[in-house]
Amino acid sequence: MTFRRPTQFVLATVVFAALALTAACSSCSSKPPSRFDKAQQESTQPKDKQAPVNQNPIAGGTFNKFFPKAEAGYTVTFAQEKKGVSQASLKKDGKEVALLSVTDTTANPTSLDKYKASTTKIGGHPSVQFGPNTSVLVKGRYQVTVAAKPGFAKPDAEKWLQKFDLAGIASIP
Amino acid sequence: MSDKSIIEIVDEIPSSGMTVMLLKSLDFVVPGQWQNVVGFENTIRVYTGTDDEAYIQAVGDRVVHLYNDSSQGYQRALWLYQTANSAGGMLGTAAMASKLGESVSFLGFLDKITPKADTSQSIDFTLKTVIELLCFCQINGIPGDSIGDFVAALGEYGGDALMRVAAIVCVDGLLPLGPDFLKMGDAAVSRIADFESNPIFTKIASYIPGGDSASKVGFIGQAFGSVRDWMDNFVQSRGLTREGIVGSVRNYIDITDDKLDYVGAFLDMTTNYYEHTGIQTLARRMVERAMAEV
Repeated sequence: MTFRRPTQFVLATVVFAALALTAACSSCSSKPPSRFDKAQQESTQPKDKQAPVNQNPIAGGTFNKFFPKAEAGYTVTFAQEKKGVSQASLKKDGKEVALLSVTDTTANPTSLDKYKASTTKIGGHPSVQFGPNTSVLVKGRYQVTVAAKPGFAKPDAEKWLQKFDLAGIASIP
Repeated sequence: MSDKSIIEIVDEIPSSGMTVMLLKSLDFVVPGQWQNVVGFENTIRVYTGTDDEAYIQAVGDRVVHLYNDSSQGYQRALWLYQTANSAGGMLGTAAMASKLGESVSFLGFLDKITPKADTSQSIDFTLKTVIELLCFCQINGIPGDSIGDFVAALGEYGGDALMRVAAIVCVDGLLPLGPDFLKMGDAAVSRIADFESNPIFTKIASYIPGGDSASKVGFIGQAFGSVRDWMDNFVQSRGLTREGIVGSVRNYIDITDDKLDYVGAFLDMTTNYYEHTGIQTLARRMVERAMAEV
């Protein structure tokens, strides 16, 4: 809509002001609940009241040399690198088909829970399927994941998981 | 820094309004790259591509934790995106109306618009370019083991991030400054005093490497120099012109005047494309990281 007359704009401004006041009062009224509110409450507590996690996980760059290399039709491009995580984009003919990653689970220990029920192994390491992720846990600490985009089949994910240098990752102190 | 949760911040990305119309009108510059993905949970669904509810919960919970850990840099990136966004001021009311999903008449505000002087706009343009690089490093770290890896990571620019860069080039460069906008940027990075009096620079200076204004502006010059050829090629390869951009914008936004520098100022004041796409980039990258960590 275009404001063609001043009165229309004044009216809209009044309506907006009313909405702004309502928004300003969001702390005294109720916001729509979110399924992620519990995480919000937990993670805004003082650090000493939060579940303990390793604040200084291993540098993400440590994992880089163990990533799969590009091969015919496929490229591997590093995308994110922070403490405890390194991630790359796997593309086939220029289209992203999966995210490849290695993480230090001491930064997010709840990620270990799913391995308790693991009955399968890939490359000798316990493996799990979680959503689009196919992951293995190396040395009880380092999680190696292929997160498949729609259309990237599970056997392909397992194949790429084994292209990581899992033995090299196991040798990280 | 914002006191809102990341859930609220992403939920409040508008699905319509002036900013969305502007970005849609720039689709011809980067065809199909940008989708207006809105809503926290929806963003997770879109980028994980799954309907596994336990997985979506785990990823969302992890994103919330990552954002609230100030040492991770995500809050700072958001603040930088918001600070780079110079919308507001005189046309604050118009910008507010745009958040309600309305469009604002260009002619109705023509008498209230004062285009920035080229000297001032060229400083804004270089600053927005450099803030993009700062935000990239805050969000993604410096990926890979070599300069080549880092350049490759930058070369992966796509989606909301590529749209933001396209908008910097079009709305803050070509439209207000004309075809010589990159040369004006080159000239701007030698004017230290102009940076020192720029409100965006004074706010973000502490995040720019360097001990004093001269070395900080020196860093801006180097950073701008590293992407200006890419921008030049971006403009040339797409045959971008002021007239072409205005022609496309006119399909979405009621611009009935051809004063091109006024169009640039109008869009600058009534839209917040930098923050809008910045939140989308931030949310997407945190979701992708969380996918690795759950």
